[in-house]
Amino acid sequence: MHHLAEIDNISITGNSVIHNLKAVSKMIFALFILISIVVSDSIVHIGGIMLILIGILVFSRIPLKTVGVLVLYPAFFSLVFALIMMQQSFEHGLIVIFKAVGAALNMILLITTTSYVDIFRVLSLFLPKLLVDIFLFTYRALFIFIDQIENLIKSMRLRGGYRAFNIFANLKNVAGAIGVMVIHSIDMSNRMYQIFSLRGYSGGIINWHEDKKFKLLDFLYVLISIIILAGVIVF
Amino acid sequence: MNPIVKVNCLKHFYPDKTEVHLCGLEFLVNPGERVVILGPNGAGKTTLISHILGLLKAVDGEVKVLGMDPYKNFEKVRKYIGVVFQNVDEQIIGPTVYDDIAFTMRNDKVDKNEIDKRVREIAALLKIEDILNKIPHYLSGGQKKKVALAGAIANKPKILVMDEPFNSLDVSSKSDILFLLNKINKEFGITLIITTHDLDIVPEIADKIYLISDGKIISGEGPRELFSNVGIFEDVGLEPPILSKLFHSLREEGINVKIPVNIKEAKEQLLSVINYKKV
Amino acid sequence: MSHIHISDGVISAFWGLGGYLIVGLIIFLILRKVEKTDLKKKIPMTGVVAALMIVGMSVPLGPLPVHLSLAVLSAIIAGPALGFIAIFVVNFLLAFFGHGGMTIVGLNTIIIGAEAFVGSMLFRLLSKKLTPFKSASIATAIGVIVSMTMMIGLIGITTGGYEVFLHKFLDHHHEVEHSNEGVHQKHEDGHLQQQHGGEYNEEGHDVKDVKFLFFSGWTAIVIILLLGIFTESMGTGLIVKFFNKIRPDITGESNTAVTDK
Repeated sequence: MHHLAEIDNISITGNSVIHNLKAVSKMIFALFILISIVVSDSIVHIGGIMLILIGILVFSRIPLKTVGVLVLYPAFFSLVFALIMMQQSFEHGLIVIFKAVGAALNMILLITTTSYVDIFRVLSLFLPKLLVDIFLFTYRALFIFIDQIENLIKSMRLRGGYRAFNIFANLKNVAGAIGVMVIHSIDMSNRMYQIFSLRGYSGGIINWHEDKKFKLLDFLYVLISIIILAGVIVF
Repeated sequence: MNPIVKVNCLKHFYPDKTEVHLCGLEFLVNPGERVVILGPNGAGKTTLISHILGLLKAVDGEVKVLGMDPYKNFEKVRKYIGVVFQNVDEQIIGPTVYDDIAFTMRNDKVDKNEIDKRVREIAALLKIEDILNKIPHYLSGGQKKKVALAGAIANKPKILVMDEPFNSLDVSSKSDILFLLNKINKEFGITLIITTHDLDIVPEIADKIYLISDGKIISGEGPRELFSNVGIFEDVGLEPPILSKLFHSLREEGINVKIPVNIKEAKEQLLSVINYKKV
Repeated sequence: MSHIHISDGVISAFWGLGGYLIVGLIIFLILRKVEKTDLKKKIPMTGVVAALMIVGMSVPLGPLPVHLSLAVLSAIIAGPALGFIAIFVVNFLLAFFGHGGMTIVGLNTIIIGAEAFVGSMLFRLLSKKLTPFKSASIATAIGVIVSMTMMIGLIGITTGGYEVFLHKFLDHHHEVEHSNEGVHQKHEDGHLQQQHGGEYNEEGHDVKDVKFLFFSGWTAIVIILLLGIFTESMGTGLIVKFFNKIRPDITGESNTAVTDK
């Protein structure tokens, strides 16, 4: 969970060329790259896309250690499936892993260079406003809960309620901690609704508004992704 | 003068079966007044202001805000009230500070240009122009409090209700907020209703103080009258202000002093005593 | 628990798109109802419940290789409709971190949404006769079994995994075209078929030869699945038992005659 806060921080404090592009451009780029990875069946193509993504991440000064840790998760789960597929063909299994890692790198590039809030703003263009509101409430509540659960677990550990191999006790105590959070969260959501009603809330918190103008770099960035997609399809 | 807020003998039941009765004195707030509600934890301060805000329906009793029942006329009454709750993290929802300050005005369909003008005016007043584009989550406690305050007064309410606004603020932030509250009260005539149990700052922000304890509204006096009566605080389980305690103990020693409400008055009193002794 | 941890590119994009379309329709219908009724006040709660699910997933349970998903719990608290939306939000946000591919979000939402729906409906029925702990645990266990079945079925259908298992475990000998051009997928009559490159071993294999990391055989698979069911059902049961003592209004259980001791 600390990854969430770390990534949020990187996306907001970063000041690279990619960070300063419009969120729309970056999301279109991510979409075309994702399509390229999904439709491709060539290790060379997918490997090439991965190298480009890693290059952009380095260029944007995103800590590769953070990226590496996040990429491990999809790599691991794709390995499980890849091992099954490898029994048919080694190449097939490798493609499974490459696709997983490539798609993950693509998403990580997006979220480390674009704040969640800007992503939600773009989503507000075509998603129902109440759904985008829920995204925003989730985002706000997450940061509150991250602190709370960390403190609760810390407190549990200090008071002997959490030990490495004591599964049943851990489950019981963790359930208690989450139970406490459930109560707090329901009260919190009620208070949130009260305050937002007082402030006239009737749905639709985020407004789409032009805060950055499209620059040549935005068009170039999107063009790169279109070229990659075209290349994957044609070749 | 007709009171802008009137509460009389309130009764409410919470989902966990807790019963709250607030009787005794009538709770009255006049336009432009600065009213502080004091009381120990669990006395019913939050219950009282929740009823004033129209969030709770009284089982019994009378609640009137601007002559209307706030619960029944919620949408009408809320436009005249700004509110800052204790935990501002739960209140700030705008993606950026600008968005949060503009939130109520956008919901009320105020013109975009007018919104921009007001947001910048309020930000300048509260000295938060430099953080308008920041994401609220990463601000300090004091800054978040100012953002919440800005959001609460952006639509020029008649009444500003604040629940424990000075909690978890450092000394500098506290005095900042105090200064701003007095400024908006003076410049815009906004009525202030504040709950707190920080007695030392009460004289700086109160024209009238209501003391709540055990379901009773005990007092509705000014700070000078109330702080002269140290015993009343001890009866309700509150620690009296330090200055009141000190000067009360001097009076018990036979020294003829008035109970001061602030440092300046205390200094004058002490100087007069010292001069007396010199003579 | 039944969250498909499969990344993009494994399941065909057409299935993924289909998942999104179905989820989109369901969410559209739910939100239309929310707009018309007083349910709007539950919008912040839906976000809060979604956040709770994400945080709950991150809580370590010691040596157990599973985590809580709290899908059934979210539907118990927020109701099955808004719980479904919370599940979509969770899957969507997790996909940004590579926890499940972005193209799989729709499918994941359907599977876990089914778990939440079944679990919460059963909880409402069972809680009239059983204690909150028992009703929540049993309801969650059944919900998880439903979603696991759906997950396995979906993976099998969409990836042709059944073909692999058929080849391996039933000793069927199929003529397979050999190709050295790598893996490619072909759609015939809407069914996904896979043609695999390389030599096909026609000796046939036994179940015990199937390897999932260091586990082997069906026993290992069953153990992991049972562990997941146990953890989720016990966890949910204990959480419901805990807050039901203090705030029975959350589950609407304030009038139940049966209580946990």
